[in-house]
Amino acid sequence: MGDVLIIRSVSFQQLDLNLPALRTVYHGQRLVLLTHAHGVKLAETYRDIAEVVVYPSDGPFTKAKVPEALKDRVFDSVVVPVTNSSGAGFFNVLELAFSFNTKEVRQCNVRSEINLVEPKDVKQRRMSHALFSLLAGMAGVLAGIVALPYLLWQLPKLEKKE
Amino acid sequence: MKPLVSVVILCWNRKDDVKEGLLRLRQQQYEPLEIIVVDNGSTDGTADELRRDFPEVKLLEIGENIGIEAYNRGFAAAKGEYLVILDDDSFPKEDAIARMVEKFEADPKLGIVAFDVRNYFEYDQVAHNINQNQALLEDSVAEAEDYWLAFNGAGAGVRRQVFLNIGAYPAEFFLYWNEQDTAFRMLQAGYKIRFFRDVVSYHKYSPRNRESWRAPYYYTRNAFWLIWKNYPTDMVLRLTASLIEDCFYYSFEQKTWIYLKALLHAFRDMAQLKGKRQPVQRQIAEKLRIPWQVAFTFFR
Repeated sequence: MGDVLIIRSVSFQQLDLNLPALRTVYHGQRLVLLTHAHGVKLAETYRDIAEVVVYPSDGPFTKAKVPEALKDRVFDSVVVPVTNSSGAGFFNVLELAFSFNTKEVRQCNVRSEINLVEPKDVKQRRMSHALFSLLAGMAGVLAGIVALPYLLWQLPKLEKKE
Repeated sequence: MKPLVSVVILCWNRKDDVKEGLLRLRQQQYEPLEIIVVDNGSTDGTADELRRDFPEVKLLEIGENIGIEAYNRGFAAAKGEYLVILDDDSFPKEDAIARMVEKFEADPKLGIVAFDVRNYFEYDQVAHNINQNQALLEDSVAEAEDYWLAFNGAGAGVRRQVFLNIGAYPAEFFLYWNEQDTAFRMLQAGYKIRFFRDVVSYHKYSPRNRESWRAPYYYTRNAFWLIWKNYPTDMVLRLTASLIEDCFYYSFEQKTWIYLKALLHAFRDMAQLKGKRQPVQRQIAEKLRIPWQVAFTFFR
């Protein structure tokens, strides 16, 4: 049995909650945790995490920044924990998960329900992501034309007077 | 003589959780302790039961829910040299306050001891017992080389006077992102914030607590206010533009108006920030890590 990669896309509090279910599903397999640098010392307290890998950025997870240590690794599964029921808001993490050499990707939600993510679902989400990004970009520009000058005008009024 | 530590807890309609937390505080290894509970207008009998069952607790009754401003009332009433800030569903491990005091006494420029806030229901089952593992006790600071962190309000220690001098919590936020706002001001005042894996707080994080409109609304609105209060002007414009675009993106993705409502209210109610904008040094603005996307992960 191969290794399982867990991307720490949720707080440690939630990961604490999810780990027993993950341990059951991946019984006997080696769990590898990908976390931002500040999480390494906290991740080392886990009994069942065999290896901690540092994500090479302080920003959100993105497939544009795959850690060197994981580029040539092969995983049986990559797990994306999410803080809600549906996984909304975690598309970037899902994209990163699918960029690894893995047999499958699973999503673990806030209720510790661990479900397979089908490649066709991701394809659908990619199309939605592209459409939403385009629309949001356009709406953002229009809103910004009004909002940003207004904000620039208001900012001095908010300044603390010494 | 060991310094007095004041524990400040804010509660609102969680009487069983806050009572459990208070029972756990009785097991703390550290003394002297002062325990202050600020009740934000609970309607479930919290105040009566605390008065009856916990006579050692100083109870402040606000009479209505005023959000995190109620914490500030507790901080002002505290007498301790150090404060421990807790949620009504969190409590420190029995040795946490003693360890916290050691960290403060060892470093006069340490402003905040950020507890490692872990899940009450599972942490002890999934983690090593730190006290029995010397390797985990040594070098316990959890940090990154090139960025800084704020702290979690479900478990944090602060130097009381410094905290009051910088304005404590931002009352106008009502809920969420208050820790980050405080972190900016603490760093600007020249103090450090450090996470320690051997200073643990348990928090009742559960699916039940996560389904609420409040989180996406207040996280989003306060994200704008956090930016406008603390960042240099050029970064304000860049971050605001990015956040506006995110509000639209996640509205489309999650089919909700909540983010756009929060965006509108951020602008509409901007007057609440009057006199509160204090841009921090550029290094702080660039290095303090704020996970903006968190605001968009609570809705469904």
